[in-house]
Amino acid sequence: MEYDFLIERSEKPVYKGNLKEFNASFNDRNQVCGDQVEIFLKIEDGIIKDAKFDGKGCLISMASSDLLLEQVIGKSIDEVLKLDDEFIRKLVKVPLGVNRIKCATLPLKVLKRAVIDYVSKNKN
Amino acid sequence: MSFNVEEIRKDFPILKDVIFFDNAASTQKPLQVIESVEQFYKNNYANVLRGVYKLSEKATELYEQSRKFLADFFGVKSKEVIFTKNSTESLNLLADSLTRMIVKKKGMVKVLISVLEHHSNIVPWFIAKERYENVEIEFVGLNQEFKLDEKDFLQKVKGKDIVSLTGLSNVTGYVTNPKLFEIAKKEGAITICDGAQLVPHHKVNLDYIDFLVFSGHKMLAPVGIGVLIGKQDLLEEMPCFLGGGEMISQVNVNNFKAAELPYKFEAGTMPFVQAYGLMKALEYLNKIGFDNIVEHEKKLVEYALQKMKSVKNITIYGSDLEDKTGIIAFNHKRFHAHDVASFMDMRNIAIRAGHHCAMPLHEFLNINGSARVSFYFYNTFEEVDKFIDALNWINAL
Ligand SMILES: Cc1ncc(COP(=O)(O)O)c(C=O)c1O
Repeated sequence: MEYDFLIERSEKPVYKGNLKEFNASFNDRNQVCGDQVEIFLKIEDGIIKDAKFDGKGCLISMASSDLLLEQVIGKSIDEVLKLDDEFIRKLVKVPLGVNRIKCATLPLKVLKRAVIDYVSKNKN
Repeated sequence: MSFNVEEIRKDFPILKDVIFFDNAASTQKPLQVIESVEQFYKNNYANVLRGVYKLSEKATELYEQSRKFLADFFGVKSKEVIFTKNSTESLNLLADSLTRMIVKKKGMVKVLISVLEHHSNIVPWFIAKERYENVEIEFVGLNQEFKLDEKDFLQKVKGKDIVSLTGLSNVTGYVTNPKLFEIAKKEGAITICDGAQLVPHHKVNLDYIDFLVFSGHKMLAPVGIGVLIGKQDLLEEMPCFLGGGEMISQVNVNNFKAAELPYKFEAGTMPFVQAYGLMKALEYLNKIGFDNIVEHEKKLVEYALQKMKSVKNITIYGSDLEDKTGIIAFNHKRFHAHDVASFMDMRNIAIRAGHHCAMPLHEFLNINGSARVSFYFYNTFEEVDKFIDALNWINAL
């Protein structure tokens, strides 16, 4: 059924774990399901060279985290900041209502905050 | 009246399209209630209590008729029935006003609640503590079966000014032993029963309960109407809560004088049409019969529990049949509660997931959340079967 690949992805994530060397990270929660996602990034010359996530929560938030990181490795931080909720909807495929969509978009919110914090720290 | 679910379901057309198992959050409305509200708006609508013209007088009559109906239903006086917008507002009123009254008299107040409570019976006490400072709040713990620990209660009840307990837990579905209110009363405490889950299903005996609160929307009535029933002497002594509108008898530039009961606690334009809807809802429930409601829900929950126990990977929080009513909280070993609820939704089964506004309880159970089914008298055994099928399907994913 439509959820199968999400279940698979949430239970066998590729990008879950810790990054030995990272220079950007952020951690946030979502009140709908109590999901918690932390993302670690290794950024070099404005490009996401590597990424990992950690956290716990519903399968939507976990699968969405994994699918998102797969997409962003190799992208520039400018490209990452332009990603929107529509991008996430396409990644997770299953239709999500106004409440549940927050689980899917949590990792994008966390990712962007990690990048924004990185940019403001490295301004000078 | 004989109890016939199929006949009853004709009054709830929406039930054709959904298996509705989230009744503890709010119930569906029968056509009789919906139509009564429509008629009120069509034929009798004007603001109540102030107008001297016929339409306002008619609306006022219907509003006061609803209050009288509730008073008779609970065996109290009309002036002891205060309308609010929901249980939460009723509890905020009590926490604020009683705390203010007691702190003024004694310098401090000792409150006993429990870890089972809905946030609506926890946070108002914390807010009262912020406002009036000398407030001590203690929690009764739970036993192995997730019921209130009566030994712990007996120790903690001593010396308390206020004891405020849920009459029926919205997570475990256990009814609170009415003896606890009796003991609290004998210890000299003011007793409050959060009846949000109790009143929709059970007739409540108010002998040892000073204040009972509940919400219309959880018992077939429109949203926006809640009730606070209280003892006249206490209500008279208590200071006002919200100010403005009908709660005033006199105002000058220095001061105000509050109106008589029950208006003293009814500030601003009240949800009077919804109050009328609540009367119609109670009439409907009376016609079905509370004994029939309890009996049918008991059978449903026994049936569901027995079947759920044979489904793999399910943990149930509270499956002792004694004191159990139509609420079952559970978790799936593999899937998060919200995922279970989303899977159920794919089969048009509406169930709740989360902490159900009872975070301290979930902390006690050491879980982040749970899935919950909650029945009302219009649910059927066939619906339970479909829910069990869905659980088995989830297990096969
Ligand atoms: C036990 C209990 N108390 C209080 C409330 C609050 O009810 P309302 O949201 O109608 O104020 C609820 C509602 O879920 C409840 O289950």
